[in-house]
Amino acid sequence: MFLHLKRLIITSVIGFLILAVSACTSTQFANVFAGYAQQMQGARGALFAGDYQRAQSLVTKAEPGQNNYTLSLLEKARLSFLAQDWQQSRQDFAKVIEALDAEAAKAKVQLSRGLANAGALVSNDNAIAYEVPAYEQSMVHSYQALNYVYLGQLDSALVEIRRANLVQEQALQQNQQSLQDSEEKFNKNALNQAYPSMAAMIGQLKNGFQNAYTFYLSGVLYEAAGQANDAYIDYKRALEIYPDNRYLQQDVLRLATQLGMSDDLSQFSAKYGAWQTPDDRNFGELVILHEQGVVNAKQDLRVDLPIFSSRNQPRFFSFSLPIYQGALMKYSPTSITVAEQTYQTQAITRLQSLASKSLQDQLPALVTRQALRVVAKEQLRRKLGQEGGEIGNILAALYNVTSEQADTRSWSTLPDEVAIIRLPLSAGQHQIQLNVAGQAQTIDLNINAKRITLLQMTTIGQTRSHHIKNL
Amino acid sequence: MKKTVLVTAIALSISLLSACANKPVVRYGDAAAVETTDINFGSTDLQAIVKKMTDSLLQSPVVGTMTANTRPVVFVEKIKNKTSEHIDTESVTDSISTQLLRSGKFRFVDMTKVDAVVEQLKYQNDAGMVDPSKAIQFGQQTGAEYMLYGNLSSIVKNNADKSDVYYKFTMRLLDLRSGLVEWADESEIRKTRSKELVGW
Repeated sequence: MFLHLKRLIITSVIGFLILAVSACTSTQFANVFAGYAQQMQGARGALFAGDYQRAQSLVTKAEPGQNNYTLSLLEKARLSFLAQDWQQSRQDFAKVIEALDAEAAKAKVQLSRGLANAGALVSNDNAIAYEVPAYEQSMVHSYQALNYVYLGQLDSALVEIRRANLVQEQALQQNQQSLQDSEEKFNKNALNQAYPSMAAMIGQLKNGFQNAYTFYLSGVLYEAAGQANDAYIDYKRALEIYPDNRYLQQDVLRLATQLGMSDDLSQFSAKYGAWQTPDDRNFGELVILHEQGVVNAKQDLRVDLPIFSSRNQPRFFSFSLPIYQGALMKYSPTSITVAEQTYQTQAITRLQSLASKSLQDQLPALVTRQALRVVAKEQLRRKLGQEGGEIGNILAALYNVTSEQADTRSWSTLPDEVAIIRLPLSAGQHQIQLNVAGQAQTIDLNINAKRITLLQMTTIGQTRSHHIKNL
Repeated sequence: MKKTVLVTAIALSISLLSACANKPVVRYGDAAAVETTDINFGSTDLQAIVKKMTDSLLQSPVVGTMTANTRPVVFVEKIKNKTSEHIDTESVTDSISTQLLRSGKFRFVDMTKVDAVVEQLKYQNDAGMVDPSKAIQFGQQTGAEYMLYGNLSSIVKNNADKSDVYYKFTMRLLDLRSGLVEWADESEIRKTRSKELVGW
């Protein structure tokens, strides 16, 4: 009889634990036992096959207040963008921005987050609401700006551009702060030995949030709105991140000449040569933005790390940590031929590098949380083992193993690489020959004098799409 | 062990109850009341800007002489939104032109409705439905003598403890014949929000 009661208590404890993280509050049941990357496999498969509608239907839906609400909207909005449904994409991104604003306005210490952390302590990090990293936020505003551009609202697009700038400035501030904080507390040696370096993916990147694509897009849109001075500043910022991009060098030279920035101009001319004003006064410009591939999904990595017990003896525990594995994908540059001249795209952003760098920066906090969790789960198992005998022990061990999932959440429908071409063309109709990875395509477009024509192309696997907008 | 179970159960029940129980309430309020729901551009800011601008314009001595014997015809150019928020600037211009019209000193032409007017006149003249002697002919409208235009810009600063936003609204009245700016004024608003320390 007494034994029966004990069993009942044990079952109810485990039931409650599961309930705590899956109940009406915020976490979805599936998130506790299956990682996000695993849930997104189907959708990513459809994305690679170019079936955006099906991909959308395969993204796990989340309601406001649930942990993956913003993430689910991000995936959906990006897929709508790919399907060229600007209105739907705009609506979903607007919801994300609203949620981010609400999050930013919340109190410094949030009780609900404390509760989620407690839930995460006995399950995994998926029980904590998804925090949209700065590089994803800057992409939200970039895509939203493009949505507005395609809907013919340049004013609203510029609002999004200014917000993207705010995000990046704020991230810069916070980054300096958090680097100072985390350096002292954490001993990285043990982690570095067990956790493979992502250096190959990160490359020369200095931080995980400054996104040259966003800066470039903002420069182009400012120029389209006749604000050359604002455009110049953003081109210069983009050039700081990608100093070897020839098109960026030319943009900076051109605007420095046009705006009479003599100090800057002498510096840039010494580095990149003087700006040659085209002979044809009646020219417009073609800007090509080419998005290639899809960022990798995070993977679940099990590593054994030492934790010091109360008796100060190191014991090795198994940790689940998210990681981006492998090397950067190599994309052959796209070439275009127009008026018998051939030009090649030059990379302006590797989102995979940004994602990897961003994850690397989060790692100390992730490991600290994981260490607490491992200890908490171990204590739970020991306690249940003492009170519930073999059955309690087995149940707890089973729960611990199945609930141990790395937090593999990330905006996984983003492109991997963005490359640009920019060239002056005489006003009128043009036919351009594209060559993407050996496949040829012809696109007709119209160039207006002294205006910018934006050609955005997306290549994912074998699927290619493009959209033209005269700004 | 039993204590632990009890404590967990109570904590969870509280969290579940507080998360799920929310009753909506609908009430009428004062349209002119100060609104501080969040730090974004709101009705109070709009009302403050409109009041400052119309008062300044109507009390300006230059405008006084301008409107002494005639009611000048004005058209309102779209106000440029240079902030980092999506603000309906048309609503600001609507309020300002309504206030100015109410003062009885100005007359307005509405450039946003030109297409609809053209369509109506075309119908009256070409559709064969309207008595030609009663149809309004093309080419009889009055041209605007003045243009009212402006800019709304903002500077936003955030840190972990507080947010600060500063709005500056500039407005000008331009004489279309001479190209002279006859009146200009600006209105500033500063809002700060400090974060609460503890919240749900």
